[in-house]
Amino acid sequence: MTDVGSRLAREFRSGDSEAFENLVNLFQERIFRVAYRMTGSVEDSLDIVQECFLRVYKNIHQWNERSSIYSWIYRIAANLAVDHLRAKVKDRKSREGYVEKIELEGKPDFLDEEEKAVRLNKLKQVVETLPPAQRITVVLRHYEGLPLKEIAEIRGCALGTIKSTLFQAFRVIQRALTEVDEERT
Amino acid sequence: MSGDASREGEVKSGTPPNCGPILEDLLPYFYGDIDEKRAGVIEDHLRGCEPCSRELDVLRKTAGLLDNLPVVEPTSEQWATMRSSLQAKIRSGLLSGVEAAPATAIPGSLRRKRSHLKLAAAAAVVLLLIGVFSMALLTFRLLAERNKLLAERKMLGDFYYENVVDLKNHEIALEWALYNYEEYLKGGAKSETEAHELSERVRLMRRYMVALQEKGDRVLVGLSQIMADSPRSQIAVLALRKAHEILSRGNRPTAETKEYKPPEWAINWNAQKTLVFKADRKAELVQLRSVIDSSEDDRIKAYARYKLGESYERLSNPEKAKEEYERLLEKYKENDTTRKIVELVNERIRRLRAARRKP
Repeated sequence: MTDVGSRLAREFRSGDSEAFENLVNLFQERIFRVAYRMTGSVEDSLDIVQECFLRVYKNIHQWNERSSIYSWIYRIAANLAVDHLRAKVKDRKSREGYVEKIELEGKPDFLDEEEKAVRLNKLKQVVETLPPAQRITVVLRHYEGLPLKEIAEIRGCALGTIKSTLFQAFRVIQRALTEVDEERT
Repeated sequence: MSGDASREGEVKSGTPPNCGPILEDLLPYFYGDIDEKRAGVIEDHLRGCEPCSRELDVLRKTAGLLDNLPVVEPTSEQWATMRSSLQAKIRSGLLSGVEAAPATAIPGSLRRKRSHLKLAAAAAVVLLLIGVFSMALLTFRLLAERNKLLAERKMLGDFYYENVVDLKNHEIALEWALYNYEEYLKGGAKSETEAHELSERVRLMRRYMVALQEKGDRVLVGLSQIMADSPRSQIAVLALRKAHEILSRGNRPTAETKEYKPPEWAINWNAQKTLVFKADRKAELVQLRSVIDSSEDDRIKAYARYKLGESYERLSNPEKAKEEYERLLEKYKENDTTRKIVELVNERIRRLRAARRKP
């Protein structure tokens, strides 16, 4: 997929507008997933996807091929998502607007399921309150499966910083889940 | 750095002192982001250290929970809206570039007239009637000048189109149409409708190629790879045609198949070249060799050699065949036919203009 992406990007850069369409087809869903994990909103995520590809279109000549095209596109998407989240965090009211409860289908038959739902809701809330830098690191590593080295490249940070950021994010999540357990007991 | 320091403090509390570096790498270990040697060290440590093993367990559970957070997918309508909005934004950006071109192409005269326009407006404050009259006159003149420019561009666009029509029934028409359309999109002086109409063939071919890749059929993927290897060439057209034949046999019909109609000129292509794609098993050897011996087209020859190498990889050297194919393809690129056609057309434009200047 990476090779196809780079080939399409090269074709697009040399003036093939059809290749741009195919590039969007190739990456739009992955970029959407990243954006959604960051914003929790379909509309906002689609806006990010659109802005991301608009920037790809305008700035394709800045892609220097030292990094793969998907790294380059991820970098754009990650920056957009982080900026978006930072703006949202400033506006606490709107941020609270998209914290939705995860509902299990039907009534929980067993205590296990109820517990699971409580923990998931808590987890969702915690993930949504993670600082943008921690959140994007979790999204790229855990959900997108990108190696830490590549995330460091995408985020423009040292590998150690990324490792540390991921570690901190996990610590925050674990602490919150422990609190839930303690409340229930 | 401060993050690292606070983490170290956190990590070290409640765990043996030598666990710090291990805990630091526990997440990379969990995600498989460290080399085997380091992974071995961590595994050795985990076997003898209960707190670190517990820590890994907690990581696993947390990661497991993270897996359960859902992603809501957009509806197909939402995707379509996003795509059309993206297209509109791109197009509006391009069109604004096109609009800007004539303004910068005649900066002197327009700037002078715009300053006149300002003067006229100022005069209008003093002498309203005369001012309004002057402004109207000036606007008409500016519009006339602009229309003249647009008309010239349209004429030029039509002329390019005529040249494409002249080249019909030839692959160059495809290349030329694509070139024209791309130039138009970049803001060049072309007629959009005609260029777009002609570029449809190329677009269809590309889309078809993507559809083939999605189908995942071994033969179709091979053929689509051929198209990708030599886009905008006879080989691509032939591969496309072959793929169409396969799909239209009825066992794998798709919407794309129904939509696609190979152009007449592609159907009537030189039979000798089609042998490459009709080649089958034993007959392939003979047919491919006959293509290699008789074809005058370097690309076809190279492809046949490549195909030969591929089919008889136990007999010949496929790597060498591939290298040769790629080398010849590079050689072909150097003799870019499109560039020649551009020169030809430009020459014809020059002659046409010269003829028009004569009374």
